[in-house]
Amino acid sequence: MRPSGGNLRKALEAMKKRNEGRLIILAVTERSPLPALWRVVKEHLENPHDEVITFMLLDDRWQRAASLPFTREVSRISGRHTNFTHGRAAQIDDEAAARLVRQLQGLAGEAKRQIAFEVLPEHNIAEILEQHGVTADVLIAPAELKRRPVYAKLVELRCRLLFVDSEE
Amino acid sequence: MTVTTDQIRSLVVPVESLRRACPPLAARASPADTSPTAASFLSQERAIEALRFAFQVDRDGYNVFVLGPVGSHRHVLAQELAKERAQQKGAPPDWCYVNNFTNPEKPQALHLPAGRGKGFRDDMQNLVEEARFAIPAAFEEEDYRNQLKALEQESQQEVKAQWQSLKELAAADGIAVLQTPSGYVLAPVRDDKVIDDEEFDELPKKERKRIQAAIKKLSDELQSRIERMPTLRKKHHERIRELNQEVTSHTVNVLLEDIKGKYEDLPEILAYLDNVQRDMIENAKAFRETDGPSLPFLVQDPSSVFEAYEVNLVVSHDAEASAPVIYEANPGYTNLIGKVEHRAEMGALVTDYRMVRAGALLQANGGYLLLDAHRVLTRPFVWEALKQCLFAKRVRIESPAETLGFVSTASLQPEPVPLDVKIVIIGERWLYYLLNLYDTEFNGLFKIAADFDDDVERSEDNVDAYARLIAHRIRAHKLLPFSDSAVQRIVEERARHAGDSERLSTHIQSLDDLLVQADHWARQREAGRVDTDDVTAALEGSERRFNRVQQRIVDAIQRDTLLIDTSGSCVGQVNGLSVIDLGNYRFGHPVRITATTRVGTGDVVDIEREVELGGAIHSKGVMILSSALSSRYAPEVPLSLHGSIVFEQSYGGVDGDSASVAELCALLSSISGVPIRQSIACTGSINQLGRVQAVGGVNEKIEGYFEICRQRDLDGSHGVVMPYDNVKHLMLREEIVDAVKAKRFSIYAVRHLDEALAILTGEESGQRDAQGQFPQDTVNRKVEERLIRYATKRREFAESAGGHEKAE
Repeated sequence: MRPSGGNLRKALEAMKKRNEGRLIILAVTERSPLPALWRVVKEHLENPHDEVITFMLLDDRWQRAASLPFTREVSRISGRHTNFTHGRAAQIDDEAAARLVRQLQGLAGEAKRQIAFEVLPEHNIAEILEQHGVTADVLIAPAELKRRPVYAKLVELRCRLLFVDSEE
Repeated sequence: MTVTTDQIRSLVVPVESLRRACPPLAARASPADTSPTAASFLSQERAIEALRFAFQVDRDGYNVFVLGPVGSHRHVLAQELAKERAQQKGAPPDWCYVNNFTNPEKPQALHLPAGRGKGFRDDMQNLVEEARFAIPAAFEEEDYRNQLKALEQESQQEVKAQWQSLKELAAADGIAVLQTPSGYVLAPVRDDKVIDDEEFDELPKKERKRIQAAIKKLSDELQSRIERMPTLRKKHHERIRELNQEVTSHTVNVLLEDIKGKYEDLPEILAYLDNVQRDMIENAKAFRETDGPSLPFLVQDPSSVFEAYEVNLVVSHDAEASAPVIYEANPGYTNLIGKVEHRAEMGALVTDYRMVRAGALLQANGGYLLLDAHRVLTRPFVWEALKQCLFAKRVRIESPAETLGFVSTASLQPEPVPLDVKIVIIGERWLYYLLNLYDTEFNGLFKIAADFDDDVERSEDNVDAYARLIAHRIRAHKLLPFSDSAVQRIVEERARHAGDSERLSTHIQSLDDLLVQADHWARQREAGRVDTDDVTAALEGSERRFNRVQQRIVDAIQRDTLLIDTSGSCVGQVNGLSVIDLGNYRFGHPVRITATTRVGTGDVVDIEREVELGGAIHSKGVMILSSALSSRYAPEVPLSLHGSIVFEQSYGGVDGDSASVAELCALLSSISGVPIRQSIACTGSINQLGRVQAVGGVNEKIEGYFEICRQRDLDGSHGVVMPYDNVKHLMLREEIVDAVKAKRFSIYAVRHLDEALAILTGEESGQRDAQGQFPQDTVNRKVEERLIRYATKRREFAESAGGHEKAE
């Protein structure tokens, strides 16, 4: 898997210059059914030059909840209350991202593919692609995004959109 | 009594009395006509009756102690009689140890009728095997899975309902229940989006308060529901367990139905099977976990669950068998009582009921157990443990350390097994008498003594019976046939072994040895049967193998290292005869006894006693002869003699009184100055009245002296004086009989000291006349005169010393 974060730009630049192969973007959230999504990704990987970039769309609900001074996290095991802080919210995001990366590594390894991975606030995905002038061929996302505000931005992208239902 | 030299000839033992030959044997019954017991145990009626009586009396304490020498075939007789009795009794129950499901440290003892133990063990093994497959199979069935699924759905539904209702409760207040990886966060939402701090601050104060109050209330509710989760889970598990138990119960009931039917006549077994049933149902889960653990030392191996139903059959008999008769040759504690074995697991010793082992007591329970007394008494803790079991009438299998309370670590305490066994202890007489004397409990536990006779009367009937015994032993050892003369020779040898021409030794082992060795020599000369010469060769060979010490003594005498005169005469010196017993060989040899006398205060010193080389009986003999001396001679004057007696060149201990005649003769010779013929040796004990009494080992003594004389050339002067009462014991070697026949050697049998004195001195001993005087020139007269002279001298000495010493 290619590095994420600062290296994303290089990856996107490379994408922009590609003259063969397609770009598949996989948009996931922390609750997305990754195996089901990956099955769809594999179906669209037609030749070895096809590239996959995975965006984990961060849900800002944890940070928003943490911004309130009275929110508490109640332990599932003991029922004990603790303050729900920004640090804890970030930790949840990081754990979710790490979990997704591990899963993706496993799946990509099986398919002998390299995948770029980046964590983004969910409303930023369209802007980033436009900003880098990258045109995706296919964007695969969980169906749940249809109910989220980001959906409006995704439909404006000039690529084929595939929403995967979690039951698939 | 006066003995003249002419009368000495009348004291010579007739040749025919020196060795009682075995007459031609009557037509003997074939050995096949006689039972082995009767043939083997000639004249042991007393022991046989005692054993039979003990075996018939089924009461406490009627155990037997068989007394008799080693080699008398005590074991064989006791075993044969026990088997004879055992035939009349059925086989006792089988015993097994099974798991005690309520307290595994105390394994349960179960008994079944003889022969059914193995079946029960196999049935339980099969049950476990079947259960291992049948129970998992029952859980694989569709019905079970559906029921399980329904239960799980039900439980999930309950949990889901809990959360759903909470979510609905929260949603009604505009609160979302968000799931984090480890718990829940309650946050206010608007348009499905969590409100952040800025949005919250924009809300009216009332609304903010309501939200905070709602979150507080929901948090408490959430906590309460979370706390209820374990109860829900427990309830769920209980339902599953109940379901599993129901499934297992049904399967186990079916499996146990047959086996219970098989043992419906045994309530104890049925009760155990009920326990098995309960335990199997409780441990249903273990039957489903068929895979072993990945780390065997961390997790209990599920297969060990099945081991709890195995049957440890510790005592098993055939249904048709008779009561057991067991001889335990090595009655160590564990061999006798039993043991709890251990195995090492990860450096620790572990055990369970399957490692309980029964000892000989349990194996013989309901029958007869034969033990060797000396082994029982020399093995640590065995005697006490045996008595304890007999008193308690049960066997508790535990280590000696536990019995004595030396260990405090937890171990198994197998349930004691009721004991009903007849103990037969076989030992030598001295052990029996020691136990009788020192163990106060012995008599109560061993009420019957079966005393084996060492020999049997040499009657005509018994000689024939003995011939049958010999024939039986020959058959038993698969030896060559023996000629009649060989058998006669053996009968004679058995009389010699008994040390009595009128009795025959019943020591079977030595008889067997002689037969086997005679057979060997016959085979060596490639003969078809054993003859007299073979028997003689066997006897001589045996003697040669053992007579090294005897040979050394004979050599020492011939080389004058040990001083023994066999010619001439000497005052105060006589040849006594001594016997050395080497256990399985004994021989006689002469020993010089000397006596010295002078004026004294009437004491006779036994030097052997003074230096503590003389035994108590020897000292007693010397005291008796002192008393005989003082009563026979000059009774009206004080005995003013100091005498001392010694066994010359004797450096070991001396015991017995068989030299007391010789010692008194030496003393009288010393007093009288009458020399003693050194060509005659003397043996015999004496009483205070001068009567000569029988002694032991007379054959060996005569033969020992004869050998010395033979090597120095017999000239007709040599001979032995022996007690008349010992004539019946004479079974001398034929060589001696021939020498006596040829008048080259003489054997005199005497009843009284005077006779011995006359033979030894060659002078008349003399008898008091009407005036109470001994005749002139007799030995007795000379003794008395010398004693009176001693008394006079002593009185004179006392007077000249100014009366410092009072005359007695």
